[in-house]
Amino acid sequence: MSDCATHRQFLAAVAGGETALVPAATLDHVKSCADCAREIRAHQLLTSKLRQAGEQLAMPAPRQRFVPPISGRLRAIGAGVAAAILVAGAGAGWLILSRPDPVQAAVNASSQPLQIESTDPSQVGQWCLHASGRTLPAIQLDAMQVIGARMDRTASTDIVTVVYTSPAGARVTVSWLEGQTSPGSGVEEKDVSGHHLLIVHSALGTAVVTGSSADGMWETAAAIESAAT
Amino acid sequence: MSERSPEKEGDLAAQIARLHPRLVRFAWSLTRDREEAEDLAQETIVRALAAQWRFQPGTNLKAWLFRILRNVHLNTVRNAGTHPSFVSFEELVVEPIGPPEQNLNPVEARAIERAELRRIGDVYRTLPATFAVPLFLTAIEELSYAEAASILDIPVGTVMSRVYRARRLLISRLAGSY
Repeated sequence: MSDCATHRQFLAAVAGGETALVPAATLDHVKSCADCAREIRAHQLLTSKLRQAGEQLAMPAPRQRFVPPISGRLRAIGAGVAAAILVAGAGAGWLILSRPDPVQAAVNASSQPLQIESTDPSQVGQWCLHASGRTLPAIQLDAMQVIGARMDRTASTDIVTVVYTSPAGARVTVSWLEGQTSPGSGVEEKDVSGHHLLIVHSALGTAVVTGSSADGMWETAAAIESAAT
Repeated sequence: MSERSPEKEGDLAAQIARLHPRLVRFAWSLTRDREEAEDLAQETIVRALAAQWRFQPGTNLKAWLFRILRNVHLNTVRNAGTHPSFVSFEELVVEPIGPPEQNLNPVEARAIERAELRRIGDVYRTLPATFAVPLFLTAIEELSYAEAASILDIPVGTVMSRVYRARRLLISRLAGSY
C-alpha cells in the first residue's frame, strides 16, 4: 500500500492515456497492482460519466445576439455564425426550464456548514474572492460580526453565503446571488420551504437573508442597503 | 505560410460556429456567469474569424479557440481589476483531499458506479474553479493535458496535479465522505 502512495497522483493520467507524462516506475507498478488497477478503472468510469453529464454541467441561458460586422467577406460568415448560435441556443432551451430557483438554492446553501470560519472580514472576503473568482459586494456590514462563509454553485447561479452574528447574538446568513440583476432596490419578504426570508435588492446585487430572528434579518437588510448607498 | 482559399475559410468559419456551444460552456466554467459566458464566446468567435489565417490546419481547432477565449477572459478580468478564478490558489482552498496513502476505498468506487449523471453534474459544480477547469478541459472536452496546459498557460505537471485533485474531490463528495 505504501508503494501505491507514490504512484497515486499519476493514476488519473494513466487512466486518461497520458502515459508519456507518467514515470516509468508508475507504469510498471500499475501492471502488477490490483488496487491501482481498480482505481484506474474507476477514473475511466468517472471520465465516461462526466462526458455523458457534460451537457448538463454548464449550459448558460441562450441569448439572441448577432456577431458585429467585421469586414467584407467576413460579414456573411458572421451571419452564418449567428444562425448557428440561434440553433444551438434553441437546443439548450429546455435546460432553462429545469434550472432550480436561485432563492431556493440560497435557502439550501444557508443551512450547509461553513467552508471558512473567521471573524476577520478581510480574510473572509479574500476566501470568497478565491472561491468564487469575484469580489463580493460587501463583507463588512454595520454592527454585524462576520463568522464565516461558504460557496455553492448551482445550475442557475453561483451563491456566496456569508454568516454573521447580529448585535443581539442571532445568527444571520446573507447569500449573494451571482449574476442576478436587481430590478431596483427594496426588500421582499418571502416564505420558502418553511423558511421565512428577506430578499434584498440593492445596487450591490441581490442577497437572500435568512436567520432565526426576524429582527436580526431586518437589521442585516438595513445594513446591506446602507452599504449600497 | 500556406494559401487559404475562400472556400476553406468558409469551412473553418462553419467549424468555428459549430463549436459555439462548447465555447459558451468553457466560458461558463471560467466565469460562472451566463451573461459573461455568452459575451466571451461571442467575442472569441469574432476574434477567431478575424484571425483565421493564424490557425494551423491539422492542429486542434477547439484548443485554439479555447486559448483565444481564455486570453480574452484574462484581458477582461485584468481590465476590471479583479483576478481570474483559476490562477494558483491551491494552497488557499480549504478542501480536505484525503491522505495520499489511501487508495480508492470500496465506498468511493461504488459511489462512482452508482452515481446518476445529474448527481455528478451537481457535485462537479461545487468544485473550486481552480480544479474544475482543468478537469473540464481534459475529461469533458477530451483535450490532452498538454493542450489544457497551453490553454491555461500553466505547466503540464500542474494540470496533472489539478486534474487529480479535482477527481479526488469529486469522488470524495460523491461518496458523501466530505
